[in-house]
Amino acid sequence: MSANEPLVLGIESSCDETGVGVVRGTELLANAVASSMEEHVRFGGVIPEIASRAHLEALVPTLRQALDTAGVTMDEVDAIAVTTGPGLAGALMVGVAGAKALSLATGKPLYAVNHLVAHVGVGVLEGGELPASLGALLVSGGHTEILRIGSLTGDVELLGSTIDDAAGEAYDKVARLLGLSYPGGPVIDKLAAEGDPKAIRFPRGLTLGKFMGTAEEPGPHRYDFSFSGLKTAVARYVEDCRARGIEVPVADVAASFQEAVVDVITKKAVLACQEHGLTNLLLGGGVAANSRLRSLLSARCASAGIGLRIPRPGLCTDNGAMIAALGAQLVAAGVQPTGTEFGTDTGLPPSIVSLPAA
Amino acid sequence: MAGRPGRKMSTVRLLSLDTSSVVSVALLEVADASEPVILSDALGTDTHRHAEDLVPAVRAALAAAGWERPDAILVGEGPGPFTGLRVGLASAEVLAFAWGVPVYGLCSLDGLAQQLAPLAGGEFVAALDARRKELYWGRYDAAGRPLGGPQVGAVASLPQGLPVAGAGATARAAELAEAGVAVAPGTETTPVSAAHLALAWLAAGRPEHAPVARYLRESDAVAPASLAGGAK
Repeated sequence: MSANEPLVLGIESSCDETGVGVVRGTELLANAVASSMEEHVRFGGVIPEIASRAHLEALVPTLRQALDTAGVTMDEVDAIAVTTGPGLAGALMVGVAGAKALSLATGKPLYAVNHLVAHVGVGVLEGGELPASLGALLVSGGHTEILRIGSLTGDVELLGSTIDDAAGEAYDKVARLLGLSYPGGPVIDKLAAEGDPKAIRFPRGLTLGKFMGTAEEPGPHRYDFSFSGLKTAVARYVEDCRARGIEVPVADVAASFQEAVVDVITKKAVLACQEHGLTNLLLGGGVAANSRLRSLLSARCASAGIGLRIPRPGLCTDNGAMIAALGAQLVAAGVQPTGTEFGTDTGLPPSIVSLPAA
Repeated sequence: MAGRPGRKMSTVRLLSLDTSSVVSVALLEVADASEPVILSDALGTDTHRHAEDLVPAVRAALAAAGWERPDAILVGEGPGPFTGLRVGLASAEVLAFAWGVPVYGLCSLDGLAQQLAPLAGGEFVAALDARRKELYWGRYDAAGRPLGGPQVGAVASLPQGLPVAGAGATARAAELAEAGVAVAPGTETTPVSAAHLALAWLAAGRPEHAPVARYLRESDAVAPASLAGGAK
């Protein structure tokens, strides 16, 4: 193995995507993903047991596909990495069981890694090493977080996160309120383009002074998010229209809701970067595909002199390549593998990049 | 070694594992002409640590036997609590893939019945805890051969007049007593043993079907009324 370019296979199963990726150093060799998303559509959200059953079905076929695509055998692989948390317990368990079995059968070292940090680590696959002085904004159906990345392999700090729903979850719930399909993100984004983002002034969660405080004396939720009040406000608005016999202006509601979400996310991310002296920001997670989030974040980062990095959409949604990419960074940094005695951790904090050996 | 006279030509080294109740791992040497040899049979006690404990248990068993890998893998398909069950199935399938050996599945209750048949003394019901006041159960003859099942249901769903054997008897002790269902003595706390799963597989003629999780229950998801197409 080349010390700086280890060949790593990564396994991801924290939500509804079964992902297996293969990475050599910072080069992407394979990114096989099987999604159970279609099976969740009729429920308007991810059903953990359905996702877990799908992971079991997809695990070996996805593993085989990734190795075939990469054109490598397990003999050549230097290490295996797997998501151990955060995520859905039953879903995580499938990937962890498979990764441990793979480690046992091949004798390859296993790293149990943090899903959130891997969303940042995937950045190395496009443009190589991440800039020093880096913040990360992760926005998905399960997460909304701002991180400070001192070092990808050992110094990650959670600056802020949602205190209730994730942003993507709010999109799904609002889509349901408006009678739109699941997942809500793409459909609301599309409709919003035809609506007026200023038509309805929906609340921006946790932006009042008592939550924000000042840079010198931060309030309790300076970099935190809340979307459950926003969802309720949309519900009230829709109910009110119906009660008055008015047709719901769906495009305006979509645009105004999206603006409320994106406004507060981008504002707080830029603020966190500025106040922590971070001159670069990486955007990750499935909602990174949202057009308004990308454009507003680009504009606000540009005004603040912050360099913005957004991996391509296939690397922003959950996948195994991001787990492999982080694993390769850990191997190259000389971090010790986890072994095979660990368990899953549904609430693993981002400060723990990989589990230490038992 | 091929063709050398006097060697057990068709000896198969079998790794058997089951996670339908506890973590259970066994290694057997199976020859056509002689009785199978159980080299090891490890049975855990915890029903909530499958993901943590299974692979270390397999590693320990292989090391103790001095095997680099088995020739085939057998895995219990359940029924059992879903999350633990999947740990066994996912592990068995990935091990088989990585070692390049076949993997077969068998109903976990068949293993339990194989073990408990001598204690049941006739036709009986093998049962495991299905939580929610229900049992996973199957009906077996005096030799432990399957007659019906597997099924999931409350005590009232069990076939009338047959004793119940297996760890399910402890899990539903009160309900069984109330319904007047007999419990085969000495079987009340027995979980599925991978060694007996293997013996049941041999007794059944080594069926070579790919493992399929026996959930027996739907995923419990209910579509919201707003998405259910107007159906109440």
